[in-house]
Amino acid sequence: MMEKILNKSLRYVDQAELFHSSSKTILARSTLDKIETLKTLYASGYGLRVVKNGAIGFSYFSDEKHAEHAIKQAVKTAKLSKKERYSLPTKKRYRRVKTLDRSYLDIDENKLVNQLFLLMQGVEEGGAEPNQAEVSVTISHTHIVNSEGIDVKADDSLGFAYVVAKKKEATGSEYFLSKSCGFDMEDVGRHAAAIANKSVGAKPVTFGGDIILGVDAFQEFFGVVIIPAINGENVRRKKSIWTDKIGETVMSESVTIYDDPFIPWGIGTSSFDDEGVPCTRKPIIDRGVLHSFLYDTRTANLVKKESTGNGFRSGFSGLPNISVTNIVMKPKHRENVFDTEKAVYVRELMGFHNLNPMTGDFALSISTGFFVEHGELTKPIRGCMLVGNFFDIMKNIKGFHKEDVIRGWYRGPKILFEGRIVGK
Amino acid sequence: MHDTLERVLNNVRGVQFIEINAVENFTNAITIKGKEVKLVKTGSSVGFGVRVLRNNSWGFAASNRVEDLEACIKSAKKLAKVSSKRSLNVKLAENNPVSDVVNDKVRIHPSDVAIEDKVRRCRELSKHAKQEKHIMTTDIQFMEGYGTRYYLNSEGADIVHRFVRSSFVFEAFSKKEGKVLSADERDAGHIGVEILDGKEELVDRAVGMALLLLQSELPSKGRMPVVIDPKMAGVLAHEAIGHACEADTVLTGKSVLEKKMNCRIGSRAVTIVDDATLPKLFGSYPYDAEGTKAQRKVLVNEGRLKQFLHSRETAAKMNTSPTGNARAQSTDSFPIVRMSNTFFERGDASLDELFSGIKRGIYVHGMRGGVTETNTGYFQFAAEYGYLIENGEKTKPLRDIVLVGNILRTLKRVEMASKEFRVGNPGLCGKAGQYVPVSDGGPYLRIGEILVGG
Repeated sequence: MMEKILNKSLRYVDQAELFHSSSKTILARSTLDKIETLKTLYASGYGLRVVKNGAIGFSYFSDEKHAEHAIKQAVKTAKLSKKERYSLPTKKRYRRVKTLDRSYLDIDENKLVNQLFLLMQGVEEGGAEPNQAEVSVTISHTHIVNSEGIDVKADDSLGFAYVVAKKKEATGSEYFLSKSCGFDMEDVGRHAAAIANKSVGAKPVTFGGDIILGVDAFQEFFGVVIIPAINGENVRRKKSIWTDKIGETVMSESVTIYDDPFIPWGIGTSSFDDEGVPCTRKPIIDRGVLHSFLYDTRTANLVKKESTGNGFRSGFSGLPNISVTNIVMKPKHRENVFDTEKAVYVRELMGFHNLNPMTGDFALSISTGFFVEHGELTKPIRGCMLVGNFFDIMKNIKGFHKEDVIRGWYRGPKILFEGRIVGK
Repeated sequence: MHDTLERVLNNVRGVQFIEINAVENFTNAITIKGKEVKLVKTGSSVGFGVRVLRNNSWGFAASNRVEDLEACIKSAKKLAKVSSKRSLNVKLAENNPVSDVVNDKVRIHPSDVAIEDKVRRCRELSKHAKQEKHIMTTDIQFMEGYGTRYYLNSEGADIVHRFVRSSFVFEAFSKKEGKVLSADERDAGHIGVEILDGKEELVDRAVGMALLLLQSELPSKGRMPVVIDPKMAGVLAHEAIGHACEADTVLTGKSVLEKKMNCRIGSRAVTIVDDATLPKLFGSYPYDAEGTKAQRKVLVNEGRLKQFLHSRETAAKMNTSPTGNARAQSTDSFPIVRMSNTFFERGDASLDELFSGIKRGIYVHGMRGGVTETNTGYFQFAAEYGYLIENGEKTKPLRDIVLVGNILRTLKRVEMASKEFRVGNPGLCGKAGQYVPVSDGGPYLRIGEILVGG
């Protein structure tokens, strides 16, 4: 099927690529302690990219009966696009990493619902009430073939669990997201309950001093400010604040950050990207110095560089775009950042639209926070604003926690810096 | 497609209720970056979702391969049985099953214009963007979708909706002394290719705004009177009141409005409406994802809370009628209670009256994003830009303005609403991981006091 469509396209164009993905997801969601939704989703479709005289054309289809039409459309769109001397990637050797946890294959709707119950049970054991919970498993298959010899296949699994625990007026949430299912549902539930319990009676405060930033909050900062800045296409169009800054010090010299597609079971862990180009591990920031940007084949071609294996698609209906794999922070020193006389631990922030990605200025509302006194979380904090500048924070990090936390595509420690919280 | 759905549906046994939402969809997208045609993309997809009620529990299955239809029905039936282990005890409010065919009325249907012509027109608009020294680059994103939606259920509903939807977004990036700022303007709705007519004005507006931002300063923080424009008023209506009126939020104890029905929650200047029937708007639809006819609902009337938004399920729980607000992002999503076009009703003040008497305050324009906690009523909205108001006059331009407050306190401080009124800001509203098209708006509003951060 794949070969046939590819060969047919090649009658009209110079090069062609067919991306196929198919997946099955089962999902269970509860409200309070009742099952609200239980669903199965099948998705399957094709994205056809063609190259004619160096210009790119694209068409997608979910029904194979529309393949002929899609070929014609793709050829037509190539004629309308800019000629940019583009060429599809060629076959290269890649490192094989595990992306399918086979134990997910056995999960049916009964088992999934039992997992959901365990998640809620964990909340109850932790002394709070489950308010909302969700568990899902996705198994997907990807196949990429192109006229330049690429023919690669990947199987992936993705597990997700999310729970909100409620205690009086306070809530605590916890989630898990990984390609592996090696985690304890009840533990996730208990953790959410512990946060809800500790958050009862939270109040806004005004504070200046040591702030410990949790990885969920850090990950959001990174996503809004740093990811667009290291995107090779933004750099090419001079929209990145770090355009022309390779080799310059942009963060504290104690910070090293990698884009790492090979960490075990990371959600961005992959052997190759969605263009069939091998993924690579590379430093983004090396001891505070901006080291490299990320590229897919299209932007790489325009700036005469090699793709870094960061061309990913949001699904079969989209073209590849530059995206990180997993972001890993490797600090120079580590310590127990909670071992302090007085600090504020900011676990969750909200309102990330109030973070300016170009200047780094922000004023974000703290939704879960605590005072830390001699290693203990004491009074809960909520509804006040953490204000500052993210670039200043990254230049003046005071410390890194001894342990790493893995959250979705990010792995790293909690960080310590001097900051300001403004009450209402 | 329709005949297959009907045939399969008629053969289903052993369920209390079953419904199918299906779609055949064609899309085109054109992206222009600077003056380069970065992407021209076309595509087609089909999809359907089956929802089954059995033992008063839901089961849902979806696919984008028509040949999976019968397997999905089987799966949904099984899932409903598993769900009944800890059932929400679902009941559905009565709904008149409708048989109807609706065609979106557009002037120029997307399939009647060659993609080449649309690319040419987008390029002309990109060339129209003023060649100002401080405009670094511009982006254009044009998208159109058309096709047919089907809704059938076991009560006899049979709805066919031939839809057309287009959107046009223009973004300008300005740069001065290393500072990069951006401004965008958009139009979207149940409109055909005519959406591209007269867009030069929209392009000029975005360019003007991006340049203005370069001159702007950060606001001083603190409590002060503000005048908000129809866009920000729309955000207040949607984010702060609309979400708290969604009955599923109310039923799970997450709405600050839970026990406030018929109570005064705002000043007399506050009337808020959700209306899915307004022609051409991005948030409009003829029937919701449960086959309920779209309606106009007055949520707040002259300051009093009057109405929540319902699906059939929430309406049954609260012993009322469905309001046609069950919507799903696509056929693979479970319908939940959502808004449509949400806005403040107009008042009778002139713009001069709104500004006069304000010694020192802020005029706030547009919206860059916001969050609301429906359970506490706390909100935080970021504006596109604004002006300082000094002695009733707009003076210095400002950026990065953030309004922070509590909805119940803020609505009581709405002092005046203008005669001038606009509804339209198209956007995608996110809830439970699903995004649906909505719009909002209203008059200019004067609020006696609000906390300005940023």
